Amino acid sequence: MDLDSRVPSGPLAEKWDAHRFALKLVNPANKRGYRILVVGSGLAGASAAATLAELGYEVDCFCFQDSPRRAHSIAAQGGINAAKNYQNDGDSVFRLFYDTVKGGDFRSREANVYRLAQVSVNIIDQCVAQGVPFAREYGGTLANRSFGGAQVSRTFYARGQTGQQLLLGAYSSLNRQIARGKVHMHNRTEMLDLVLVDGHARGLITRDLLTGEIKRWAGDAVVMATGGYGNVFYLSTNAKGCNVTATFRAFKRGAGFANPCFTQIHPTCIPVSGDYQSKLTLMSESLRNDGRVWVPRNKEDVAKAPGDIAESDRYYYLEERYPSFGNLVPRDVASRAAKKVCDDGFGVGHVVEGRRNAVYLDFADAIKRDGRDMVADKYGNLFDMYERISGESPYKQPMRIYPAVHYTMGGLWVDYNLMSTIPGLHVLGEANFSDHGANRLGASALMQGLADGYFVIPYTIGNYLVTAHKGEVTTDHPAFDETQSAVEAKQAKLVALDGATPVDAFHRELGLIMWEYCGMARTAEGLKTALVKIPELRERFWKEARVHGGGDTLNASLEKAGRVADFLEFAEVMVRDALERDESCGGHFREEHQTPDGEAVRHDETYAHAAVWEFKGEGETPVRHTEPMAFEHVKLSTRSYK
Amino acid sequence: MARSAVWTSTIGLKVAMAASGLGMVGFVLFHMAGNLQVFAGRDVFNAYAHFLQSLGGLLWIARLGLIGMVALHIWAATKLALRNYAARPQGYASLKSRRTGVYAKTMLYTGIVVLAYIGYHIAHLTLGVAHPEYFNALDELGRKDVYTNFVISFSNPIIAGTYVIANVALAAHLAHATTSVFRSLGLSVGRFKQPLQMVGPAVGLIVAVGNTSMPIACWLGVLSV
Amino acid sequence: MRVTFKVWRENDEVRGFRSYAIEANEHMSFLEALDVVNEMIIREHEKYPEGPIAFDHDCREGICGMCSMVIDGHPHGPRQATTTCQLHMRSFGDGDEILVEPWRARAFPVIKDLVVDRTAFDTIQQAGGYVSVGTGAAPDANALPIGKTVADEAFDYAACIGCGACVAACPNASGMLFVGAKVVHLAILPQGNVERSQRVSAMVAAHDEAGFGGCTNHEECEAACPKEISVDAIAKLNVELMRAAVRS
Repeated sequence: MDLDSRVPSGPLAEKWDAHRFALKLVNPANKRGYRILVVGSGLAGASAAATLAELGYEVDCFCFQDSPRRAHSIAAQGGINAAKNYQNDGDSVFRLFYDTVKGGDFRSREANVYRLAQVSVNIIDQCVAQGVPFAREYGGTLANRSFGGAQVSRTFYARGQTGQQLLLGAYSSLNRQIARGKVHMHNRTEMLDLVLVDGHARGLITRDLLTGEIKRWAGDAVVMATGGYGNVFYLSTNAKGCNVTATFRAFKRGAGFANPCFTQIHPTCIPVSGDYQSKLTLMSESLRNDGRVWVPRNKEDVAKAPGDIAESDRYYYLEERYPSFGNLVPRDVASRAAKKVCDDGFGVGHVVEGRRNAVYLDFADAIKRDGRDMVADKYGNLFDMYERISGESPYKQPMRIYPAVHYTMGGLWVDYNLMSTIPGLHVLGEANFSDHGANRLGASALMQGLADGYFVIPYTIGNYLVTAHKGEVTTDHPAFDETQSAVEAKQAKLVALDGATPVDAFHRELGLIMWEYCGMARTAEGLKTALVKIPELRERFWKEARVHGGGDTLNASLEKAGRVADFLEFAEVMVRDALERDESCGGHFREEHQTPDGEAVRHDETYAHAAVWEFKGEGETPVRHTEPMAFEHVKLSTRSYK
Repeated sequence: MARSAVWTSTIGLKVAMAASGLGMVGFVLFHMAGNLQVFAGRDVFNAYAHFLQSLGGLLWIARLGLIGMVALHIWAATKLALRNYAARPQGYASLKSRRTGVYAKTMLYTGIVVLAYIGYHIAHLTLGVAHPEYFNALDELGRKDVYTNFVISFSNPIIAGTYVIANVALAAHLAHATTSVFRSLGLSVGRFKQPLQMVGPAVGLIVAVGNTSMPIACWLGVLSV
Repeated sequence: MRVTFKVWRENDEVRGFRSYAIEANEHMSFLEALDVVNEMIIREHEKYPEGPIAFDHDCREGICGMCSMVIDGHPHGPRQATTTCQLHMRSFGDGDEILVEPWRARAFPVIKDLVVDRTAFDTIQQAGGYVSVGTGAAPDANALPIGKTVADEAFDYAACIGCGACVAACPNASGMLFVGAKVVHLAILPQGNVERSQRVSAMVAAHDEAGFGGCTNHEECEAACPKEISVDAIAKLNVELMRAAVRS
């Protein structure tokens, strides 16, 4: 597997400039002769589709929702980082780069991250020009806040709905290109396979979710911006439709899958209330700026009302264990700390399956200090959301929170040009692996999605088209017949599932396995258990699951079955990756590798690399390759938030 | 959108209804104020009527203006109503309202009642067709004795009752319409919203009390020949 | 708690209401309760030949705007400022019969059961719901000061999630609140000011073309909007259009 990162040589700060100059340009008149297939319409997909169309390419864009505006980027709450240094507090491109590499626990590619920090400033300009209503100061300048443990205020935000506003900005640019006829939008259309011609990604097989029609699309390059695979855990903060199908099927066609075990658990989500739970709702990390996290000091208090527990009987475990960062420690640290206190029997809230899995996030001090109005101004919509879901008011009693799966740092391997190991297949946003290493910092996902879409792929794809692309291909090519037949066979197999158990039941069971053995803390023994349980579950799925109704109509159970079938295979790759990575780093915590007080221990000499998995055929064990990660500008060090 | 298309868009039609409606609200209030002089007695009332009739050409301009407004209002209302009806071919088994008051809900019906009433009212007191008995009587100064015609007509409980019902419908129509005018014309926003929202019900109440007081007074014999 | 869902079914097998009784839990979200119904239908598929209920949903956290059902006579259900996915069963009582219907509007044809086609909303946005700025053409973000109150007001209108509850609640199935929210969001910001005349004309034309009704100021849209967007949007939209007509 060719894992050449194609990072240009030269000083870090000049790499991107030099690379842009070195990239071949497509003659403006020739651009309209190229057709780019963009899968996904979230921040990365919509921004890429719109920008490529602006440049003159013909673009087909696909999304499975009823409108591109529904992509799950819409749900991001907190904000977007940019090295603008508007607050004059010492931020810079290098500091954002440094924080991101360090926050990612030294498992990301320096050059990519530096570029990300560089273009972050352009993103804010672009979004403001589109009319994104960022928060502002009375003087009319943009407001910033510190976010997710950063010691500078570099996060731009639009109340608690930053993702929504950024996505609607990208959606508006996309709409402009749709109206111009440069982007052909295909809603309610799901990508089911990638078509390779002479080893290059040259087309897609899709299913029209309303009519069931299986269609083929030919293009000159494919851009996948299909999001993360957090729903492998069934319960996550992802939308119900988020899935691994597009990336997994590309994996099966030869794209390397990097670091699948790097999953991020977000510390502040509303806890599970019962076994019917279908999804978890995130409460923005910004809440930790003012909320204090605690549990009772005594186990006999866990069932008491929080107001009845005296101040001296409250254990503010983050403040005590991490005096300098306190409640603002990075996500992985905060999550594990919550798990630990709950595992030790200090959890509060509903009893689900014999356990209380929640901690308090308390605003009483903030309300006392700043007044209810000021707290409401900052967090009002989040408090309302909490109240709607839990039936309790955070103004009157502490929130109950618990970590939940939120983001997946792993994804398809890409080089500096965002191209996967399949020539012509470019991967953007959460779907790729490149920028967040083993742990993503708060407010960095929106930055990466838009950086990839607005400011990276528009340059790098041209170079591919000029240098590597191999001439015109139509859907009459035999590769399309072959791939379509394979897709149709798979669909037929799914439609034929006529057991009695709903597909969701298997998904839920898979989620329990993954959460138990491949969740916040992992052990070799547990992972090996998962490698036994997953194939068993998969076997039961193909025997006992039921897909109700045919393939020629809107059929949610068929859609789900396809996605769950892929999760059932993908989960194994993920567990294997977690087992092979015999160290703790970022979102991947192996209990065997920790300090006596429970901090993660990395093994840089063996694992300072991206693990890239190659598909070797159905039923075969995938093969692990590595791309070494060199750290020339940020010294490898142990993260310490004490 | 071409400039002409703006005026036939849903918003253009609504603005046309608001503008013509506002003119008619003004007329209704002015007309009511004039008529309330009936309580000042025969001489004042007949003098007022004589003054209006002596306006000649001006009166016709006002009448044509009114006819124009009515026509525009009805045309726009019909177009919008048909459009709105077509916009939901299949209804709900249940759709509950949270805001819509009874006045807003019955606009079309009160509008039709008001239209019929205008026809009857013109036939009755302008053309003298509906009840011609007293229409051409003169008072001692040789002016048209509008006062007698007015008071005798309304001492008939059927005529008085018809007017009362029609004016209650008119008042209900105006209660939603006048508020709606300010919204349609974009004035009712922000801090002006609350006060302007009160204008409709206030106009409705004034019209209901003012316009029904006259036939009721005649019918009860408070006003007599 | 025991509840019965009386759900509109529309597919090859059936067209009309069907009832499904389940045991629910007050902490369940409304959609989780519908999941329970669907699992029951699949497990007992011989009893329910009409198959599971098709309904749109995705984020389940009140922001994607995908859910499209009228519950007991109210779009998104009885709780104000709440999308269907954040409505919880504690809003209902033991033994309740809950009526569930799709959005009803000519511009939103029913595709299947509770799923409707809202392409018309995209079409309206494509007509002009954007600022024509290409990637890379933007000046520095702080070069254009915008007062906090203006920015906050723009946000209030920009918060629309495009669910269509305004249309569903409107006695005329009008989409004016949706159109107004985008027109006003962009018109009050300096970035959107340049194209405001073309934008409002084109978006209103697209709205009318799609077969939505007109506004008669009943304000049901504002009451139904899960993001509580003010009907001021419609008043300001009217002014925008008149301004455009006078100036064009």
